[in-house]
Amino acid sequence: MPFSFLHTGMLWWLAAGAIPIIIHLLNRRRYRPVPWAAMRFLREAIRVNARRIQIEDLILLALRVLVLIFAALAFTLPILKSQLLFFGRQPHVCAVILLDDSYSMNYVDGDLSRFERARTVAREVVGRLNRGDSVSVILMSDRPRRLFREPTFDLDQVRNQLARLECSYAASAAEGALALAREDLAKARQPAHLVCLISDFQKGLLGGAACEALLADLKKNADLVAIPIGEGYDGNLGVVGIETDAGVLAAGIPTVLRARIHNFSQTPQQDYPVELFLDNQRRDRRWVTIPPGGEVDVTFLAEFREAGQHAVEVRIPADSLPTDNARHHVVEVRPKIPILLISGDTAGRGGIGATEYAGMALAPGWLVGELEEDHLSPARVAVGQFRPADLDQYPAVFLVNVATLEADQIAGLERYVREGGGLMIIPGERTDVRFYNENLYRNGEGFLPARITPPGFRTEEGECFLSPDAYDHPALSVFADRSHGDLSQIHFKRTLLVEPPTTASVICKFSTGRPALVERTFGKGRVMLFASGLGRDWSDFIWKPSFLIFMRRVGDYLMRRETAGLNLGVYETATRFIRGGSAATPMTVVHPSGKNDLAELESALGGMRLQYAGVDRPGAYRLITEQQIVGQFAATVDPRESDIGLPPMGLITAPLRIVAPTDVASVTSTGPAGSEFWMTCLKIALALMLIEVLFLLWIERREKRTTVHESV
Amino acid sequence: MAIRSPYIDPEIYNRVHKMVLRARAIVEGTIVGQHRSPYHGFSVEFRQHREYAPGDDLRYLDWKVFGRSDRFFLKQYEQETNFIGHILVDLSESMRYGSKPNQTKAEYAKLLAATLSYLILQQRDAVAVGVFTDRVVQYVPPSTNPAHLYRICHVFESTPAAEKTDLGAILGEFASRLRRRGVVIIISDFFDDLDRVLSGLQYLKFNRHDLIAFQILDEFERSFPFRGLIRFEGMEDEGIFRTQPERIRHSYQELFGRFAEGLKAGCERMDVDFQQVLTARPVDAAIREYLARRR
Repeated sequence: MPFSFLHTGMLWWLAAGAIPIIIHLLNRRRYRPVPWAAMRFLREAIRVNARRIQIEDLILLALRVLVLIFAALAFTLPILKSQLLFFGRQPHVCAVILLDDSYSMNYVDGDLSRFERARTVAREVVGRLNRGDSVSVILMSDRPRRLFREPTFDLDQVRNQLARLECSYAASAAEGALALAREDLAKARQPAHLVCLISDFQKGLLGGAACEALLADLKKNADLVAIPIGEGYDGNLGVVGIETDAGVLAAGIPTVLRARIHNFSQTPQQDYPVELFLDNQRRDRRWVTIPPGGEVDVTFLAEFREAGQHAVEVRIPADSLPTDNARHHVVEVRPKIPILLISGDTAGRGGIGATEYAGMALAPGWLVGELEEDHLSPARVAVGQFRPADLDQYPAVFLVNVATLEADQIAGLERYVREGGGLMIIPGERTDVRFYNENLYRNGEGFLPARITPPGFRTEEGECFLSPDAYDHPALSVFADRSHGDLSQIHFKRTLLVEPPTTASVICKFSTGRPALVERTFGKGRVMLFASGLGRDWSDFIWKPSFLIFMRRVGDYLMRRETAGLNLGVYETATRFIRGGSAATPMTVVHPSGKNDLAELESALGGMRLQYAGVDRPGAYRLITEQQIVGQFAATVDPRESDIGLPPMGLITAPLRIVAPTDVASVTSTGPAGSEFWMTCLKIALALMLIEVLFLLWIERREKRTTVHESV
Repeated sequence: MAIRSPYIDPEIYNRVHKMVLRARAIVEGTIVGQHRSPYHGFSVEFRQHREYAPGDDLRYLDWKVFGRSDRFFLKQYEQETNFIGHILVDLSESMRYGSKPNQTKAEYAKLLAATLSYLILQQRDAVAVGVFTDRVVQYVPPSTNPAHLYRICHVFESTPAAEKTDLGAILGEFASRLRRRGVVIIISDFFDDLDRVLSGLQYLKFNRHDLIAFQILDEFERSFPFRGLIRFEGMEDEGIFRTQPERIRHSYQELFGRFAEGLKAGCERMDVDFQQVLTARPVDAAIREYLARRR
């Protein structure tokens, strides 16, 4: 259809065109009766004039109907899609500029970054708009936001604001920004809509069903224009991750730090230097070879002599995208790491039970009191003496061969896990399966990762081992290297039949196919359930060297809670609990840029809780109070953003009109919105009204010329 | 005992009683009077004096009386002949029209006829009145008795306007009925086929009557001043017409004027006195105007 209407609701007013016809029909009842004698002259006069009167009446009726139709049409704000008609004028535009400010736009092409070029292009687009047009600028990333609360008509202000914009450290994402654009256009009063995406269009930017649906929706009423920024690409390498073997490190114990370096370019990198900095001191440098598109793990061995939080930084040489050339990581180092063993067995009275096996695996010198060489410090407590209030001291808890728990103990454990604690459940012969199912599993509502099928442990009739599957879970990944132990050689005599729900995941299975280790996330914490017991009656696991590694890895994995607040994504709010101290004492956050911010503090049980919302760039942030560093945390960028690719990767299938940055003039030319001609309609209505008045005057004047015939 | 009638208006009669309606043509009378008689050689015997009225022949002035009294008197002789004035009044439905209440053409025609009757009777001429629609409804035979006026008025009062008109036929009928030459006064709106009207007048004229035609019209019928949406309802079962009068006024007036001109021209051709009278005009003024022109 060559027409469209901005106010389709006003189309009902077109029915007003019937008003003159209705009035005409109603008037037929309003004739004033007059008895008349000289009918012969009247009849003849009517006969003579009937045709003329009929034509005049039809013309008047048509004029009146057309006046109302065109007036109503003007109110519907019609848009003529044909560009061939001479009338109509360029409609006012509501332009929404989606400016990509993800950190890939920091890529430097020549002497300017892509963001600086995009900013210039955006200002040119705004400069092409006319008085009466409105603009909304939306910064397009995974944290989309508007530059102005609503579309503004102050184009100069928009240009000034654009000139001052800085690129962010957020990752690319278009969905949120497109949704904001749709909201802005829905409220726009202008008949023509322009959506202008200015981006490097990284691969996958406009992908996904939601994005495609939004683009299709916008396409209905707007001219979608894409201006790809980025002339060339000479590759990029980035530090995409830093990991430690354990979530909590012990002071004086060497630990492995792994840095992942990704080569996003098409050329191999040989003897590529990777440097390790600990607390801003360079400690190590490695040279690696990275194939095109490949990724390597660079392993550093580090040792922290002092307890506390330490900043780890890995750097690579500068390239065109500086943001990912360094990555920070903060680790928690403690003198000893306490682990609570809640024991339900009676072996402590003389023999060695499951709890003792677990404790010795975590710290081999534990039973004989020689813990100097061990970074883990297990603490055994009988289930009867277990007090939930003590849980906060332990980054991880093992529940070993416990029959039942009191209600407050269950509630305490549940709260502990919800707040981020790690819990390993190792059943035994004392375990009350029914109690576990009813109180800890609660049809999936409790923290037990799986329902235990009664009656509980069953003796395996044949051989049963752990399945030699690929160990991709962090807790077991170490066993991918068989030199650390071969789990498939562990012979199980008795196992537990468990039924994990869909919310839980099976980490490894027995050779029978049944789950052996099940994990579920509960609140912020994790819970694991081992489907066998510890001891010679259950398996030969305790005699295997892999048992020690298994227990320590699980312990380390469960302890990740303590590191959760140390390493954030950029723009996340930092929340930390700091033991001791007072909320009245000011705490300063030293920003990576060097500026100092005051942190918000509030009193909490046993210390204070810090909240800091100023995490807006990657790097290490230090917390200082009374000139003492009391903590650190690191902010990192999304590594996917480093994969810039050749532009415009994301535009291959998107339904957009692609305009070169050098051809901005064509952005604001007449798009599919067509020409607005409500003014033309209004003029036609007024002209018809004038014609109707003149026509009536002509008729009246002609009738006035008729003078009373002076007869005899 | 005074007789009251809406058609006896002393004020009007006072204004017209000095007027004289003379027969312009030769009329046949039973006595010799002020009208030219077809009968010559009668002896002349003085009968009485009558006060001079404008239009009287000066030959009959009594100069002796003038010398004695300075007043003009006419000498009247027994030999003067008289005439019969036949007044034919159209009381068809169309005469019922009046743009103002109580001022219909029919009422005006009746008043005019009664006044003319008075005028004729007071000059000792005989008057006969015929009331017609498409037929003769009432006929009052001729008489010179002044009390005859009351009978005429009674007929008018008892005869409302009704029925259609067929003027041509009815004038033909009167032509055959009025054998003695006299003055025939026709009071009507003449809203009929013009040729038939003229042919009816021709019949009367053929009998050598002195014809006077009074066309009674309402001002609205001539000027057609209506505006807005009007439904005209024919008074003689001529149907209903809805129109905006201002849109056809020009044509109406043209047609109406053409009809009136045609009627007037036809009357002139036949030597018939034609006088168009609007109902808004006082009756005595209308008569005076006519008589002044007639002289």
